[in-house]
Amino acid sequence: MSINVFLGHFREAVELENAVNLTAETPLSEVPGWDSLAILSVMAMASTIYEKVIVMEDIERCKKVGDLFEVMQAR
Amino acid sequence: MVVRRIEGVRICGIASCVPASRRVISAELFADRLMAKRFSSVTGVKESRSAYVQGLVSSDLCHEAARTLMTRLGWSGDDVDTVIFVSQSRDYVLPMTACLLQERLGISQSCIAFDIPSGCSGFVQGLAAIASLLTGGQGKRGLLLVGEVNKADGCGLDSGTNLLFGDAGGVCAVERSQNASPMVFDFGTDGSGYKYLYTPAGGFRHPISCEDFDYVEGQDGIKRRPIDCIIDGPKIFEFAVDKVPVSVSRLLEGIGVSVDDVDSFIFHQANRLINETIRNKLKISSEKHPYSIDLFGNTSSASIPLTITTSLSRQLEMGVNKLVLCGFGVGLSWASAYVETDGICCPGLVEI
Repeated sequence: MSINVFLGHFREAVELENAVNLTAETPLSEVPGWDSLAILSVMAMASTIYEKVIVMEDIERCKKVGDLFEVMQAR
Repeated sequence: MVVRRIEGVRICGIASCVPASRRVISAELFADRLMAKRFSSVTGVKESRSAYVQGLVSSDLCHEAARTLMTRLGWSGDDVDTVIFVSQSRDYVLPMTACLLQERLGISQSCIAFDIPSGCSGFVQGLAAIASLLTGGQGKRGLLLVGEVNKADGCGLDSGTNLLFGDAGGVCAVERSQNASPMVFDFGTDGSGYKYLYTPAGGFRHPISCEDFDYVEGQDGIKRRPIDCIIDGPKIFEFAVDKVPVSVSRLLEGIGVSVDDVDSFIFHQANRLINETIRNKLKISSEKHPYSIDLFGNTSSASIPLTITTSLSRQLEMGVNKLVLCGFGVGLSWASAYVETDGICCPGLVEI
């Protein structure tokens, strides 16, 4: 699993417009419309594509998009 | 934890009723286009029905569904001795709505009638309760009525959550029958998560006062009143995708039936994302897992009968069908059932 592939899945899950720039360093709080529906979509993406369960506690610990990737790999 | 069996009760028919007023989910209902797009992909709701604008409540929808089903079955009110009404939107604080339905449906006075104030798990919990009353309580015929209606602002200014829910009523007719295949159940309850889906004010723990009508901004930036329902979507997702697959697997293992042996899985319609995740985890093919959420929203305890009426009525009217039903949500609670139906009565959707 590579960070670039993950970023693609993340973009798709939270339905980012193509124009929006997203890297591993992007703070989650700066992801457009980062709300409970977006969190839900990311949880479902992790479960369906990576067969990993990430919970709210994991997400609350994450500051950047890349942290989510780390958390998921650790699971 | 063992699965529980109830013998000697058969499902005779299932019917559903929705208000005629349609609410189409359009982008203008949301703060921005991204929210609208995300709402659509997470929930799958394209439109729903609204009882409020027609002045209808849950019992009105259940009453119409029950009248239609009783006519088709040729049942009179005197044939029914057990009535259960499952809903969180009852007619009055007092008395129980089941008593009003006894009178409206012309059911014999020598019946037991009561409410179960459950939500998304309520249809399966109610089925277990009514089947138990028929076997253990020596009843003959019963009506399980399930319904929910919502206020347009029942979740405050949380527009996404308000638009998730739709209004519907359903009924399931059951009778004692020696030849019936057993119904098998698996139940679960986890009260530690009650705050993930709850209404703070209005009960005896927190009686309504004037301040409860004031909006307060929550941690998520959404304004709600204490009288509004709060849903923690991510926590409910965590709960549902953890508990439901385990419960359904345990149920099937308990009776030695595989996922492939089952004809249809009728699950509570929570939101499309939750249901799809559960379906994938259990490796259920999409054609065995019908949806009603796209056209009717999340209809709480009515979602299982409504999905049957709108997707499976012709299939269930002919021959034997092996079904797995599962409700999950508020409580937190969950309930799964395995039932075999044999040519049951399924009238088309009633609209009022």
